Amino acid sequence: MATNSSFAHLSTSGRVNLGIVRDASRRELSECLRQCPGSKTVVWDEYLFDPLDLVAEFSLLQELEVRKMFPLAPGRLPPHDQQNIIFFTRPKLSLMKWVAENVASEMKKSRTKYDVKFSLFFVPRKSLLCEDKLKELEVFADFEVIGEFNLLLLLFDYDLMSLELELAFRECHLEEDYSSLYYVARSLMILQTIFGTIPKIIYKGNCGKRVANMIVRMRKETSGPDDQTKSQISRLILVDRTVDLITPVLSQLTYEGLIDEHVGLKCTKFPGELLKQRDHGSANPEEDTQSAAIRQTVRLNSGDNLYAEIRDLNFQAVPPILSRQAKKISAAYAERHDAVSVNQIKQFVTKLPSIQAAKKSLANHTTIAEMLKKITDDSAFRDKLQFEQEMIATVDIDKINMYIEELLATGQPITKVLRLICLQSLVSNGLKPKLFEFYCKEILQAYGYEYLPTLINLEKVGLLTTQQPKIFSSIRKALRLLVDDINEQQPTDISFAYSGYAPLSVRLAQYFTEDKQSWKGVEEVLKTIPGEFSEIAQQIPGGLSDKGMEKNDTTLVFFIGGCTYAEIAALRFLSKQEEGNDFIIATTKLLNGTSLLETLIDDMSKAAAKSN
Amino acid sequence: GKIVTMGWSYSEELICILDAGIALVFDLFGTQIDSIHLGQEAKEMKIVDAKLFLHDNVAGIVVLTTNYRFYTISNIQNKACRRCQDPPGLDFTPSSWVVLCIDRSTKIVIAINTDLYLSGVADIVKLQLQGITGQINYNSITLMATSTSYKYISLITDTGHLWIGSTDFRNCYGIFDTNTQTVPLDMIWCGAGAVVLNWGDELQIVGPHPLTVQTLPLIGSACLTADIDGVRIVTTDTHELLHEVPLETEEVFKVGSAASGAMLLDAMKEYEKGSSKADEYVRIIKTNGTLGDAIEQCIKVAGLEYDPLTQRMLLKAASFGKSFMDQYSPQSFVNMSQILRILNNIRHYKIGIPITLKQFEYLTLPVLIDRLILREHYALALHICDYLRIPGDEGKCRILSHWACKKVKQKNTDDKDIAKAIANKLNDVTGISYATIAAEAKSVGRYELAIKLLDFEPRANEQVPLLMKMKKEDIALNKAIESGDSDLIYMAIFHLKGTLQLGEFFRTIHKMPVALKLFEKYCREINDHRLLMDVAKQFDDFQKAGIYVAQSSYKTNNAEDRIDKLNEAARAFSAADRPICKRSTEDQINLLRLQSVMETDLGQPFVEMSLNETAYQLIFLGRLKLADKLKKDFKIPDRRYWWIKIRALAQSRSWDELERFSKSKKSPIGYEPFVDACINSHKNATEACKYIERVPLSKQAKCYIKIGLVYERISVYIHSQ
Repeated sequence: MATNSSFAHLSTSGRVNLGIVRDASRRELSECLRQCPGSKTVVWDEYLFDPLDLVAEFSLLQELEVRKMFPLAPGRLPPHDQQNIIFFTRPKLSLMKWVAENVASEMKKSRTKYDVKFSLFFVPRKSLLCEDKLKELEVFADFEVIGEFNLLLLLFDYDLMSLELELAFRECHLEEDYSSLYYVARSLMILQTIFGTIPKIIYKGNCGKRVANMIVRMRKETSGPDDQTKSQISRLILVDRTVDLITPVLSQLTYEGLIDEHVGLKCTKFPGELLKQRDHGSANPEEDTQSAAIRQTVRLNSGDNLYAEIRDLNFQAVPPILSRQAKKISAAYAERHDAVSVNQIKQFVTKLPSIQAAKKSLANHTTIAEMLKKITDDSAFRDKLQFEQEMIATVDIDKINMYIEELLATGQPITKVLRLICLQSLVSNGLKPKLFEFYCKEILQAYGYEYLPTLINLEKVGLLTTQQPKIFSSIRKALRLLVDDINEQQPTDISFAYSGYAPLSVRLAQYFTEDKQSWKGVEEVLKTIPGEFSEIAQQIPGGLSDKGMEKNDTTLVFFIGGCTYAEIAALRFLSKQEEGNDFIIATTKLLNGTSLLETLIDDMSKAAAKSN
Repeated sequence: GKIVTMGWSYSEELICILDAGIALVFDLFGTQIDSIHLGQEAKEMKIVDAKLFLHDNVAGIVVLTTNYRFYTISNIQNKACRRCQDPPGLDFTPSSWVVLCIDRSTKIVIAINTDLYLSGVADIVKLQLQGITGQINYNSITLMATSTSYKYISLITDTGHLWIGSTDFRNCYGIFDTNTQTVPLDMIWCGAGAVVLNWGDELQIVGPHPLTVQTLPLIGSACLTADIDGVRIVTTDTHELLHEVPLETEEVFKVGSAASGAMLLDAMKEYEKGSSKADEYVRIIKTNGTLGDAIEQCIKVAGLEYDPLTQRMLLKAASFGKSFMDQYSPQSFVNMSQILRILNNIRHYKIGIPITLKQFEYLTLPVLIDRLILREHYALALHICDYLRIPGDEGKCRILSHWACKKVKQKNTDDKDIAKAIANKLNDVTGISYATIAAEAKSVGRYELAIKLLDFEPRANEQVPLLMKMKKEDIALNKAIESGDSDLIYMAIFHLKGTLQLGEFFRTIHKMPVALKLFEKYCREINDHRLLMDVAKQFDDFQKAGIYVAQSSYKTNNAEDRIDKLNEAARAFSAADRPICKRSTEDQINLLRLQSVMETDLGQPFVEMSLNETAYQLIFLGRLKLADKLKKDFKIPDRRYWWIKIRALAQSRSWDELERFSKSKKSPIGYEPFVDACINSHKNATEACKYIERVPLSKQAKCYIKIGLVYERISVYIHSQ
């Protein structure tokens, strides 16, 4: 299967070729569709659109005789003339009702016109509950095929994979539903079948432990002869998000991190209409038809060379690079004046497409950078940043913060306020009961009583708590989380991603991969951080011992509960620091403080409306 | 009923066809494992004759009913029974009939006196016998037989003529006159080369090409069975195999043979004697350039021999020859040595599978291992697998699983001992399905043993359903939880829920937090509020109960109903010892009361607003006194109240009131918010400027920028310098 060109960067750049993961998903999708021969209509659970986009382009689907695609919606299907109707949906009970409605309406139609064949594929796996629901809705028997499309790992870039389980954190830590951990473990089994057994598993945090245990168990479950693939990944670090909750609530200061915080990236997609708007000056965004927006969608990944260069930099360092790039491009264009001979002109013409692509990319990023600059220059942003820096650096901050008070009183978005209150709670390892009560009361009075469950949720997951053992300052010291003299342009430490604060999660990953001699007192501090910590050695099948592994040391860091783009930037920085010391990253979801909090917000009035 | 006929299936099951229209299938140990119905008509009319036949690795049955209809089951595994076309005029037992399998379809050759018909399920044709019709005057065909490959057929007429030909009846290979009108007891094909006639006291072997006849005396009565390459002659105390001497064997052993293989064998013998002739022979073979062939020949012939000593001699010759070759791949030599070792072992009388190399190759090794397993020769099967390094799932694992399945059926052994024995043996073998073994134990009613065995099963999706079937729902749920597979856990939960009373169910699930949480999640997903409340109450989770009740208060628009619900929630929070929740709920009750009063008084919507929004709205509407009361009642801190009031006044363009407010007392939040409010609400620079003076000097510049008065900013800057 040919990998189309816009995804070519996935397989070429990394030492461990994660492109295989995507190829495997494509193969599986093809197999699913081939189970229903002939031309077909496909109905997608809307949530799957973005993940699907990362796996298969429309031309592949066309090749597989997909004629029409609809988002799954209640009621009847839009008009179409295919006899094969295939549903792809997450195993969610609420969606089954829609599926049943669609099927029922088509059945009614078919009696007079033609016979329709229905198939249903659960992504990523079948669920008994859903199948029972379909039986209850009396459509189960109407399906010719009920299968599963085991789409777990989505390849975001050559070194980055996400399960895009947006509720993983909530489910694990609030609802105590560990289904997502099962998916994590399964995805790791898939990676191990492709890239060989990972000899060493290090975990920190209780979810990490659960996953590690599941992997060991699943390995026993898989029968048959041991896998004979040579280990390409030498170590797996499982980081439970609860081990480091401070990092996600802080503002990300890398280019990509800022984009995600202020615009939002959906499976690496940047909303193109934001770029277009600028192109046409005062164009009314509402006039943009949806199709135009889709055409405009820009994928941000290492396929864009300029983006690859700047995405992980502190935003401070980005503008100089953009202007340098501008000069480079105009210089390249200027070459045409020097081109006199036919040969020279020919040469220039062959270079032209790449210059044009570079120009387009530069234009995009200049627009984005200007947009971000406006935000970062705004006093609201600077006040917030100042508050964050203060929180991270100060020793005793257990008092009412005037800035937070102001935000509460002026009706700022609740996520913004909660992020900062959570930060205060986290760095002080829980607020004094009086302060805790004060903030709770303030929030409920400012945003309404319906947020009471939200506060309880935050308390349960440990984001907003009352007094806990005071450990943050000792962690901060032992792991050098606070770095004073940082150079945003030419960083020497991972702290560049948060302008002076080194994300704890990445510091731990760094610690686990480096020679431990140089880390004094870390072991003791590590024990004080809540969450289980251990190392497991996995037996490597005979004959595949780690010969030649010393040179190529690839570490897979799996963030259970999500990670931020800034953390990825920090890990990529580490990858670049030392030759042959590579990091690849997997996560349950790419998130930021806001999107994380959004999953934890329970608004009683909305919940009541939903259940009516 | 009476047994009409019996025989063996391909997988060595004994099939007995009864006249009652049923076939019983027994395993090697005489246990009935299956029964096959041969059709309604066969059942009603009974069977007069039946034949069992093997083709394409399956067994089939053809029966003839008393009303002379043929029914065929071409594969006893799928049991489909179909009727064959009736030949014309068949209202008596046909003089003879035989089954033919051509291209996977079953046909019957039926002889009715002199007429021959080929009948199938779809059609029937009359056949013409070549080379006999018109020449010999016969009245009927009394016996027919086909070769095991169904390529050749032989038949005997009542005049004693033996006709040998192809099964398409186009060729006649020969006609032999037996000179007797008695019908032989049996006629069997020996491989594809000759027909053996059993006359009771002697065997007559007739080969058609050229017509040769040999007789073999028999001592005692004998039974003949065909095999692919020969005929097995079983007498009361002997079991012999009659087969054609292969060409290679003949070449090597024939006296004075000049075949290279024979010479190599001679050379080896001379060498062992220490004679120089050995060298001479080898030289001859080498000059002929046939040393390779000679070696191959010796290896091949070794395979065809039964006596281990002869085999060894031939292999030694091959090995001897090999040493004169520079490059010779030892593969065939090694293969043959391995196969012979296996063959010699299984030919041992204790194992009792005396098969030829050809038969072995035809059977294939996996089938042979199956047969060893069926005979419970587990150890030998294991040794063979180890010896040939057969991968676990085809070899060791399969054999041990069978062994274990057999083991669980040992009636006199204790559950514990069996489980232990199985665990010990299977411990270090990967890929064993303990679930299969446990299912076997369950099938013989040994539930305890099955549960013990399931404990070893690493695959939860195999383990859990079986445990549920055995009504061990709690263990099943525990195992599901261990696996972390939510789908399995749900399966176990619902199974449990279906078998228990709700209260009992809650008590059981309470012990398993993971399951409990998933169940709660399910209730949330299907919005079963009552069930959720039940769960919360059952486990005294008052905080959750409080939240659920509070949430339900939002479902109604009636203020009194709401307040009732909230009161209930407050009580729950109180029981949960959550003073913050309790207090805020009480606050909410008070706020709701106030809001409903205000709604009637002011004719404006207030319910659903937060306290801040309410205060803001009141100020915006100019109801400052009411707002002040709200501040007092709910103890809104000064600073927050100032923020709200400033913004609300600015928004409602109450500039005078705003100014009055700014002067009412010293602002606890400074005067920058005044500037901000003027600008943010209506971009009112004039109003904003009124407050700039009171902003600390250091922040004035910032304020001027906000207003957009850059020049002022510069002047302030200069001033501050």
